[in-house]
Amino acid sequence: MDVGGWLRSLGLGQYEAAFRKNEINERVLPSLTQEDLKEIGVGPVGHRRVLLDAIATLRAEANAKASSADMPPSSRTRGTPPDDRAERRQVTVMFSDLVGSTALSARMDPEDLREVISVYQKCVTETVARFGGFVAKFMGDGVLIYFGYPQAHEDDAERAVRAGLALIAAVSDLKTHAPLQARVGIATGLVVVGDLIGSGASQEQVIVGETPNLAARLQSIAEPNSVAIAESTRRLVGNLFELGDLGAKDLKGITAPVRAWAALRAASVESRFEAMHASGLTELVGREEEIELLLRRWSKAKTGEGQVVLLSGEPGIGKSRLTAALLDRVAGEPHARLRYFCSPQHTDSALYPIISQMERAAGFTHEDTAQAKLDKLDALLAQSFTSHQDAALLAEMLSLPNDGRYPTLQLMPQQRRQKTLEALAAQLAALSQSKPMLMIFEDVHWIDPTSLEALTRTVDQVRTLGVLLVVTFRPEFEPQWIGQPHVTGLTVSRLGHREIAAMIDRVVGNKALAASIRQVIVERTDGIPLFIEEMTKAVLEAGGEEAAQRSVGGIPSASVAVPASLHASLMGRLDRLGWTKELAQISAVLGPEFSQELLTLVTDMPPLRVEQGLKNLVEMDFLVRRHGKSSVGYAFRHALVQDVAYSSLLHSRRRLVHGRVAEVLRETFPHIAESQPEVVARHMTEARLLPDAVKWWRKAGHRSVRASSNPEAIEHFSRCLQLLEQLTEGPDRTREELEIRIDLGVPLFGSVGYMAPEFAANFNRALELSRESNDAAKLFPALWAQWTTTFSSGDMATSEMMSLNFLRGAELQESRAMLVIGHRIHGMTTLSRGDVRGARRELERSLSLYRDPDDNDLTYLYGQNQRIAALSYLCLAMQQLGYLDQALALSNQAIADATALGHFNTQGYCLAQVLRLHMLRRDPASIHKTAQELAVLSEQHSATSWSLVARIALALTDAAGSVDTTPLETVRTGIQELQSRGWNYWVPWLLLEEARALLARRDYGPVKRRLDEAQRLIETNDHRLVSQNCTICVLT
Amino acid sequence: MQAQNEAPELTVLEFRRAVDIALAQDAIVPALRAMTKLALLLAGSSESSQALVQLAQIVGRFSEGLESSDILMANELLHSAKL
Repeated sequence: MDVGGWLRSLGLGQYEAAFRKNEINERVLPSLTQEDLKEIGVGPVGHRRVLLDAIATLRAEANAKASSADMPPSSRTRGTPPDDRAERRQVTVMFSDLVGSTALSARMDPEDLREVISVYQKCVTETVARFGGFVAKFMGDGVLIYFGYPQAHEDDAERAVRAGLALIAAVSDLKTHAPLQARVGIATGLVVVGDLIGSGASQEQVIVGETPNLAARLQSIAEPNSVAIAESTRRLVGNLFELGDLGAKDLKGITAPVRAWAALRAASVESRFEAMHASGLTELVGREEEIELLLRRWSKAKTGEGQVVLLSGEPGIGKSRLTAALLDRVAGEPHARLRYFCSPQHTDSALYPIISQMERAAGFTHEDTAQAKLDKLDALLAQSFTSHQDAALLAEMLSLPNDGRYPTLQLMPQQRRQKTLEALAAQLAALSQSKPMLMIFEDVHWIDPTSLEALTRTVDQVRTLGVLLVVTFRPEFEPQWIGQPHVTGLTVSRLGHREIAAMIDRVVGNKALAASIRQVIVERTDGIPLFIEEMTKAVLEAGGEEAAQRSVGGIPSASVAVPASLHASLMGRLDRLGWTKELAQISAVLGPEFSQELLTLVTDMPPLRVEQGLKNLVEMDFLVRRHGKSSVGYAFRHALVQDVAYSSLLHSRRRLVHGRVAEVLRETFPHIAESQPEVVARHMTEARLLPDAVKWWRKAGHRSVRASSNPEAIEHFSRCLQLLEQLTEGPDRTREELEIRIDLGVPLFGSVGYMAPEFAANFNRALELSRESNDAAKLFPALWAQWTTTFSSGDMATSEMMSLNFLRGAELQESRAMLVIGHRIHGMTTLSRGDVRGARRELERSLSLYRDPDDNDLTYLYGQNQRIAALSYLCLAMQQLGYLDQALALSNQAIADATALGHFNTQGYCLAQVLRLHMLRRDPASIHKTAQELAVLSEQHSATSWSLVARIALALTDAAGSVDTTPLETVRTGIQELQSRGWNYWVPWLLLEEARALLARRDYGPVKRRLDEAQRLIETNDHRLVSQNCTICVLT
Repeated sequence: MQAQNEAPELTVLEFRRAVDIALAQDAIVPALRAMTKLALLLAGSSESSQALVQLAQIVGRFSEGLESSDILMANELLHSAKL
């Protein structure tokens, strides 16, 4: 529970800070007393009463929950709702049922039936356990089994199918009153795995989703003694099994027809890798050096100097792909091959890889009798001139009965093991006599101890044989063979950006893939070929444009799911984390990189525990530690691991954590919130705190506009609009949308230009909104206000977009009056941007469109009399163009008209510009006179900015020819005051005047500093008109 | 590096650049000021006459305010050079 939110819900949000300061969290909240509240500083009795009542309610709720869950209150009230630890994950669900159980129950005595069911259940439990499955529930003769929960394995789908096949066989072998048959259905998919419901014997792991239903339905359509699997499972098992197509089936409770398959038996496949890539391998990319090295070792081996290459690398890095490439490259040469594959399900089955190699080599099939197998074995062993004794040992290794063709061996188990290993060595020696041999031992991290011993012997043995032995394994396996001269270690590393791009191209082929999505793939897959391939395929299948959206704000979005083929192995890594898993999940919400400080504040774990947890996560290669300037940071090692951790969180929990992150960022890290408002916005969005999210996206948009990052600004404002749509309609929403549309016009203008349809669409919508809010006149004043604020801040690049924005709006509206203003303000920005001739054209255009007296009213809605304001700027342009007399005449006219009008804002505006004209003319007497008038006027009306400008100008004239330092101090503080208020329009001009005054006094020291400062402002703000005046203005 | 209390001075190159920028913006008043300084700086050098020609061109663009101090100073420079 969020204490702040609770307080706000009671209308007592003002105590939030006090509660936080006293570290009142949801745990201690229910036990607060009257005295505690006083101490916290809740003064009014009324407030204390409200709080105490609410606390009593909390206490009652907590007790109710605790007693219903039969758990101590401390663990139940802690923090979050009881379903909190539920997870979203991919699970392979298996449903097994006894065939004809109703008939059985009619036929049998209940006691016998009970016996049968119990034997059957025991059989299922044992079989499933062998394959790492989890029996979730017995429902009479039906059994619900999960693979991939509570512990995920990378081969969960395969385990499930194997278990299903084994289960059928085991059930039909059961010795019961009547022969039994089972039916099995298997499906894989996303489910929500709930927390424990109930306790003790009735405890049950509930999973929710379509998958369990699908598995149950598939079971019902399976033939007796068969396993029906869903398409989702089939994809994950590749060609590992022989399958029969059951066609598309309509299943009860499942919306669309479902393609189903019957899993018949394990296929006799040589390599798992090949079985999973039946549709062909993606071309090898970026492994030229590795292949070269393997080929050099092969050449050496062929001369009789046996070689061993140890290929090490993380999962998916391409070890098997490399060996496949090697086999391909040497295919044309005469050689013998021996390939061994270790399996994750057989890490404890003695000699598993060696036995299966020999079975394949001999060509055993499913239907072969023991006799036939022995014959095949004999044929195989004849090729290697095997002794009778060795043949007997090898037949025994393959669990074939000795039908009398071999001598009976009376050996102690230890002796037998020795002799078998020797027999295997003799096989190798014999086979390598005639031809060079390529021997590949894959996935040795899963090797059983006996095979490891055999392999160690082989490594020694090949030294003197014409053999290249390639051993592949993941980094967790530490080979003992390094250091021997004929052994080469080779670590396969991640691909670089160019190689990733090349690989994506190969997978994509001639299909189209948006650059943004390509970028997402590059970012998320960390240069691991398997990830690149699977992710690209998944994206192509999903065809989702949304993929590109995911990296905004650095938080993964669920729109591109982690490919199903990678999900299990990534989830498996997460499950092995134990209690730190929760920490990893919360970290995933924070983003690809985060600080320890932030994480500690977001979780409700004690800091020491967080620290320990982070240490574990680094040790387990989940996170990388980064030392920042002020804090310790962490980053996810794999983007996809972050994605899986994130996607395993329930939406409800995600929302809570996002909300908490936003809150912590805003309150504890205001500098981050201010400099990266989009991060806060993103968290608010994910937390579904929509009104706040809109506010923060808008903040992000404004920030991006200031940084001239138009595409980002468009993105941010567009998000505001998307979220607004989800809020309730009403005048507030209309007003807010109008404001956002006005904001959005600026970056749209900057990036797509004002002729683009998007620009017009946005503008027209704004117009519509302003009419809807019964305030059609509101749009242009809003646009004008936006421009004028930016213009006086001195940011000329943005101002120019805004003035053009206004002008374009006026054109679309075909409003002459608005064109008067548009050309006027655009003339002003044009002048400041240094296009003096263009400025003259705009200002004269405005003047020519002006109609007296129709347009006089504009004076009051738009700050100044438009004609006089245009004249005030036109005189500056004319002066720069060299029309010195006309400039002066225009300025006199402007002042005379302004005085006659008597509108203060117009007068001040006019005097300020005329003051600047005299500065440009270098006419001290006129400067003094105009500044005096401006000072008096602006002080009458408390207009601070003009007053400051006037005082600075006066001080500058005072400083000339005086030794007194006071005037220059006035100038300095005045300029600083302008800067601190963000009125930077005048600042570069005044800095130059200050520099001139300093120069006149031969006070050279600060001159350069002033010039540099002016130059910096000119460049950041693109205030180009000043630039030609900059140094020249001072030094000429 | 410039000493702390020495007057900052523009080089010939900087003046040329200033003239170019001002002319590009059609701002002939600052162009005139910079060109006058440049012509003074180049007086007596081989580039002097070329600078004076350019100064004369800029002065020629003014049709009004011929009594302003900037133009008077430029004209004075042009006259003295011709003598």
